[in-house]
Amino acid sequence: MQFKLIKLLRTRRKNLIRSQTPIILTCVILEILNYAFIKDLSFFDYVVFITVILAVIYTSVAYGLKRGLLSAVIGILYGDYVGSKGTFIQFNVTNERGMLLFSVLLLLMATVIGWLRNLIDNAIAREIAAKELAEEENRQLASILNQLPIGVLVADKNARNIKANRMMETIIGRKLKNSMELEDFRIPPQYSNLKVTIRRGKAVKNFEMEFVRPDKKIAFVRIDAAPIKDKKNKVIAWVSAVMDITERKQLENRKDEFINLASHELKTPITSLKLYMDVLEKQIRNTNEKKSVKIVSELQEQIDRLGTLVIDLLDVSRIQTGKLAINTTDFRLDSMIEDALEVLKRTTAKHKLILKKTPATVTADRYRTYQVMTNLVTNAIKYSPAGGDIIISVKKEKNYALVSVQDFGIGIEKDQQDKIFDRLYQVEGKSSTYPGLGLGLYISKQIVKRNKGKMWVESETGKGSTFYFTLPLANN
Amino acid sequence: MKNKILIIDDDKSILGALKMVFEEFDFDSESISDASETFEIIKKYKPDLIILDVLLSGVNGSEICKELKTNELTRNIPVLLLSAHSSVEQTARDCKAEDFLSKPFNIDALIGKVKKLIN
Repeated sequence: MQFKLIKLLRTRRKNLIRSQTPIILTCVILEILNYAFIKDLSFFDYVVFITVILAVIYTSVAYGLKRGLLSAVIGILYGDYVGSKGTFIQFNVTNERGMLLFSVLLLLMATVIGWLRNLIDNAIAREIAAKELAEEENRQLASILNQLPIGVLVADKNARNIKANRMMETIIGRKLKNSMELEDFRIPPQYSNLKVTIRRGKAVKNFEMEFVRPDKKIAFVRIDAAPIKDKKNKVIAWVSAVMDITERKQLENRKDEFINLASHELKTPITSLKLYMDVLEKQIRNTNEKKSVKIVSELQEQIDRLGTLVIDLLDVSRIQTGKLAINTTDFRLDSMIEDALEVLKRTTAKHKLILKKTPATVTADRYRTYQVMTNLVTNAIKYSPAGGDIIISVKKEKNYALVSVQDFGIGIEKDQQDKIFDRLYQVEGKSSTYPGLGLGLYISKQIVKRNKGKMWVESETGKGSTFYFTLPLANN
Repeated sequence: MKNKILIIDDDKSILGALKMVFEEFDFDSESISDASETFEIIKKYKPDLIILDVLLSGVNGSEICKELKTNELTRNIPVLLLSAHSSVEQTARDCKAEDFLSKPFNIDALIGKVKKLIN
């Protein structure tokens, strides 16, 4: 502690001596000159006056207000000393008044110059501090950006002068320049709409892009970009986040391939099981063994369920990946429904399928429409366990065909009616009574949608449900 | 005289099941699991209908179908295409097969189509 204090005092003193050196040195030199050489005292007075002023100016400029004032005081004391020897006649006033004027002049000068000097000093210090802070913040921001696992781009409003982080370089597989333009990113031509959106300053959300990297590897990225606007809502810059989703895409593809393969592999044994079972059923019916007939028909039902599940899983996988192929042709919807009902009739003894039809030719995928029809009628049978009528109607409206399937079964509660078309949805609490994966209505609605139609339901609990769907009528 | 059906499929269980079904419904049937023998067998067996799986190991069933439909000897024999793929309708149209069945199918659908094609 003590040592520290001594050290502090010593540095202070050293600084003080250094700052006062010019004025002290000036006084000493003038004294030497005075006694040794100069005999003309009035001229000497003039020299003292000018020199001391210069020395005070120098100190104030070099060291600021405090030391400038100290110099002024030293100068005044020296002046007083010279004055006391009876000089200062140049002022043409009494020595006291000359001395007073000299003192005020020195103090005023030191104050003004020193104050200005301090002002400039502070301004410079503030500037430097602000610059350092900004640099520090920039460094921090850069290191934060470089640590991010996603690529980040910041650009000015014209999509020029783009800055990117390190991850961005990793994602696109090459070094980026400090300043670049949108063109430098070599966005594949099929995604030119992305460039247009960016140039217009609009936000880009979840935009998936495929491109070939310089190392010839195919990469997928997800781009999210948003403009930065000022208070007047004018775009001043935009920032975008680029995520490497190559791995996810590859996994998705592998999953799809697997589901595809698995479903195909499952379909073949199910087909031969069905065929063998049909033959067996035929033979057993001939023997008239009631119990065996019941077992075989139960087995057949379960195989059919298994087959439907496999087909549904495959379809969902296709819908999810946007690979559900729709091959549209013009066909007679009413005849197709008649054919479908012919097959469906055989699956139930308790229900009566009633068809009310008008001839209607639609443009749609025949195979997929058949699937929708089968699904709706199967559901109608399943959810009216007590049996009864199921009314199917085909009508022509303005430019579409309207199909409805009405049952008089358990119905669907109001709050559930929207949800039944969701994937994996099953009416709450009914999954044990009515088994299934809950994929049928989701698939049906998606198929109808892909065929430019709509699907909806009207239902009342305990009274039954009516499912509707539309398909575009063929031109003429 | 019984109608003759040639079945081309590389899955033994399907071949077995189809053979049994046709026996049950009083058809004569021959099956091959190696598609390279197709034309040789057709020459000898002279089938009234060919049942062909689209997905055969090593060869593409729709290619065989196209060959059958361009060959002078075989173009008039109706072809029933089997596939586990839902795009079978399109495939059948492309290779000019007379009809198709997508797996899994039941005996009624099969026999219905077979009878329709042979007559």
